[in-house]
Amino acid sequence: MLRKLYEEVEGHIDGQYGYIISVLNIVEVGSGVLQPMTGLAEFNVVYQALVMKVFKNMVVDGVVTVVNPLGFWAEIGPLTMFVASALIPTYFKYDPSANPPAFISEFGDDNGHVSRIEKGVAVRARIIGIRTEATEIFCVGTIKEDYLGPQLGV
Amino acid sequence: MDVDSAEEDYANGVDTTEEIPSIYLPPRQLIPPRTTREADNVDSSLAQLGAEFDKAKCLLIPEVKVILDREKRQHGKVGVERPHNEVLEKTLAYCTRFSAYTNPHTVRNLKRTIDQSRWYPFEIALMANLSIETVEEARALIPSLDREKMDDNEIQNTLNELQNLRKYTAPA
Repeated sequence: MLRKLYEEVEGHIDGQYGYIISVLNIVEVGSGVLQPMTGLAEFNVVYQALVMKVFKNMVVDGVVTVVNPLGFWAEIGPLTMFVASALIPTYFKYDPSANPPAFISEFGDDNGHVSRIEKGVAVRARIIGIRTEATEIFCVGTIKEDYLGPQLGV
Repeated sequence: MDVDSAEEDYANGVDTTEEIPSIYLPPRQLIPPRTTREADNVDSSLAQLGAEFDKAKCLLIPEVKVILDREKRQHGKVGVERPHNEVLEKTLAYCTRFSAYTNPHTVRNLKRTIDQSRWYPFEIALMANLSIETVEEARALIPSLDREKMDDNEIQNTLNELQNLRKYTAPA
């Protein structure tokens, strides 16, 4: 029965609680009630779980997975985020000839380091919209703000 | 006005249309008035996380890593077979990458600091998780810090504390 719980709950999405990553502790297992007709039993199980939920306007770090002219996708753990090119500061230009494709800043910082947004780079973004689906949560982010954008040394 | 006088008025040719109550109901509202749902008010910049999460604990990224590592080890031991969990793997990979504090002792100290602070749990968790260094940065990234009676010094103190903890237990 516990296996059934793990199967049904772990790694899945709850509308209220977001991603249920792992069941940590089972608090109480209710007594089973037989369902008429089917012969299956129904148990109420109270458990503690580690969940991941994102909120609007929250700032998160993510890892860039795909870059294309329209923007880029990033992963925040199990969650996928899209940052449209309109929400990337204008000094980042898409460079299709780069390999892998990247958004490249027009000017470097004090040390001459030019920041790039390409696959594998850590990016800090603010979440501006969230869409919850049956199997995944998508959110839309922006990096067009102070202190947001690609992060060094992570 | 009662019926008798209405009839009288009618008989006298007085225009009483204003005063006769209509027998028709006011038009039914086809679109029900918009009720505010719980989900509309959930916004981290206003420090409102919704009823279920108001009292929830916020974990730090390294903390999550410690917990998940332990869970994973236990999965093998306990008799109950657990299905492969993609989400757990992804989360663990993410936590490994973004852990600013690797030492479990640091995490414990940090947790103590957090429990004693007067911030909303999610605010201080963000401050620690994002490795914020300056007050300006904190205010920009965590808009809910911008509410009244939030002193720069207070924020700076907390940030310093977090930074010290990070410094003293740099990657072991």
